[in-house]
Amino acid sequence: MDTHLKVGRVGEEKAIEMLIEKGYEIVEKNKKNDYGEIDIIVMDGKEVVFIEVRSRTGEKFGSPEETIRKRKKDKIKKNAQAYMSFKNLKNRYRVDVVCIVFNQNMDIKRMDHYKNITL
Amino acid sequence: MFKKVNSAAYSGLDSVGIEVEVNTTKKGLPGFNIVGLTSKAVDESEERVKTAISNSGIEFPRRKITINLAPADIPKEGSFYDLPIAVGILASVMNFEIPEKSLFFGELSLDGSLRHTKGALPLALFAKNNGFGNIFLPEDSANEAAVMEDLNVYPIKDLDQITAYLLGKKEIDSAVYRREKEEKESPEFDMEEILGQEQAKRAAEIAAAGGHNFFMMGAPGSGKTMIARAISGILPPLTESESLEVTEIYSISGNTGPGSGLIRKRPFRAPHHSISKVGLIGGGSKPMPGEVTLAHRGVLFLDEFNEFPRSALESMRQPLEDGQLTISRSKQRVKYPSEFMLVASSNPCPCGYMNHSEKECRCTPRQIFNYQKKISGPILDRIDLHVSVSAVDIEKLKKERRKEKGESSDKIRKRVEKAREIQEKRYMKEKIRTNAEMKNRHIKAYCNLPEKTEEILSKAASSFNLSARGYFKMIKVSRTIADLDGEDVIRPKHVAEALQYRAKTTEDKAF
Repeated sequence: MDTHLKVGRVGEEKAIEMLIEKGYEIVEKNKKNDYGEIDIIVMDGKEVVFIEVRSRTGEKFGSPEETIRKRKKDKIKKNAQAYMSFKNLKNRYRVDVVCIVFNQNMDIKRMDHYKNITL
Repeated sequence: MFKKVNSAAYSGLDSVGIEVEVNTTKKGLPGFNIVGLTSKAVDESEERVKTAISNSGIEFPRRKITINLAPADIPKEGSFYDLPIAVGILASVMNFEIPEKSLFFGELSLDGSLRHTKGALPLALFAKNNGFGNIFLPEDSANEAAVMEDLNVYPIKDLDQITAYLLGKKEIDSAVYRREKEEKESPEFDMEEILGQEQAKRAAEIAAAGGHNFFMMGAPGSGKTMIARAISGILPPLTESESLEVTEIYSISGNTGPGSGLIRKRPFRAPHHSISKVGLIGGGSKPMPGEVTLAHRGVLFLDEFNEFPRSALESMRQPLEDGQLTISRSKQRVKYPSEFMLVASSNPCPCGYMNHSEKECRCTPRQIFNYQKKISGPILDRIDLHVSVSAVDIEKLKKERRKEKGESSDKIRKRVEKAREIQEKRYMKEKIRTNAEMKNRHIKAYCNLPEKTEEILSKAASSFNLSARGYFKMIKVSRTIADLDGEDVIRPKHVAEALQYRAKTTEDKAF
């Protein structure tokens, strides 16, 4: 596996660990549909939370936050709507982003959880 | 956290207060948004502010930042919102208070230092008139603003300095106006360098004394351009209030250099004849001043007068008449002052040698007619002094070179200043300042014409076929000549001299 894909995979695993620790209930991982892929879907009480994980090694080439532009936001939103209607869910839902920065030894340098980014 | 920073934007020569509202929040994805009808230069402020803050050794906050430039319905232009935006962001993340009654203004450089920004003087005026006691602006622009008294002008070098000040760690000395930075530049030519051409030089003196518009026609190489350029040297220096007006115009049009102060020299503008209408009178979607406004209180010299596009010349009628002009565009209307002295020069015909003593003119009557009709009657009507400048005799020139020089500009200027003083006293209760601005009622009130003078005038009017306007123009010029003589009464000799400078019609010359 290429390094950058591995970083992404490890990042998702670490994010799930963190989310479980926070008390979220994991519903799906890497759920694919026509619009693309949702990294993680969890339940925060009664609220459905769609989570995009962004991982990077070092911040020399910019922060993971910067990699989410309007286009990606729109894509995640559409994806979420499609999932909600496909599953016929009536719950409230939101989109979160988890940004992880690793150092060279793949240790976590920082991990930030941004809630409701479409706010 | 929410912070509010005050700034101001100018539209024309007036300023409006702008509140820069900065909100930073940890909720939502980090980002940077500016709203409030911004233009490209304001949008690009994001990159400058971000880079300048990180280059000042402060980590750019990972928060959602929203900036609102209020009132939201006024279009925002220019790069001077950089400083208020940066200060707002820093205040909200480092949690310091922004001093009350303070204006912030300035463009940031990527390294965190502040650049010279245009419009410092109008901003200082706005601050003074609206009760803002402190203004923070780039070091290079501070001298311009420091002219205003009772105002604390803080010259800012870079973001570090202002952050330290606002955190209360370091003091900044408020700027004191430095007079030595004022623009001083001697005119290109002195009147004493111009040999011969006594009549034209005398006419230039009268024009300068009374603020009259002045038109020279003559063969190529006869010295028209030299005389015109020397005129700025015989005009009196700007008064304090005129100086402010001129500097304000130059400040918003970005014509003041870093660190400069008030402009004391009368403007001398000599645009090339390829100028467009907008270039001459001003305009653009955000109306900027044109040459007529940049020449305010000074000289606008149009060399090769009939080579100018007709549309440009015709658009000058209103500013010539009213001393100000209103530029209307869909988004805004702007009023600019344009009290200038028009000095124009042209050749009499396409080849340039009509009425020349030696050379023969090669033009056909048709060509001459077409050439001269390019300048419309209404424009010529607004010019009080017309002089034809004949070519200088080379033999005479040689002789004169050995002799002593002519009168120096300094000497002439002394006489001009005296004449202007007389006018200033006379028009103290009026809105006008010079003889050229007199309307008919002023002529009635201030031009004392004894019987003999009246007689000469009416004789001239009938024999030269003077129009009503031409008649009054004659009186105005006579008034100035009498002022130069220091006489209150207009004598026949004054009128006799004025008659030499009347407009000669095309028919007189060509046919």
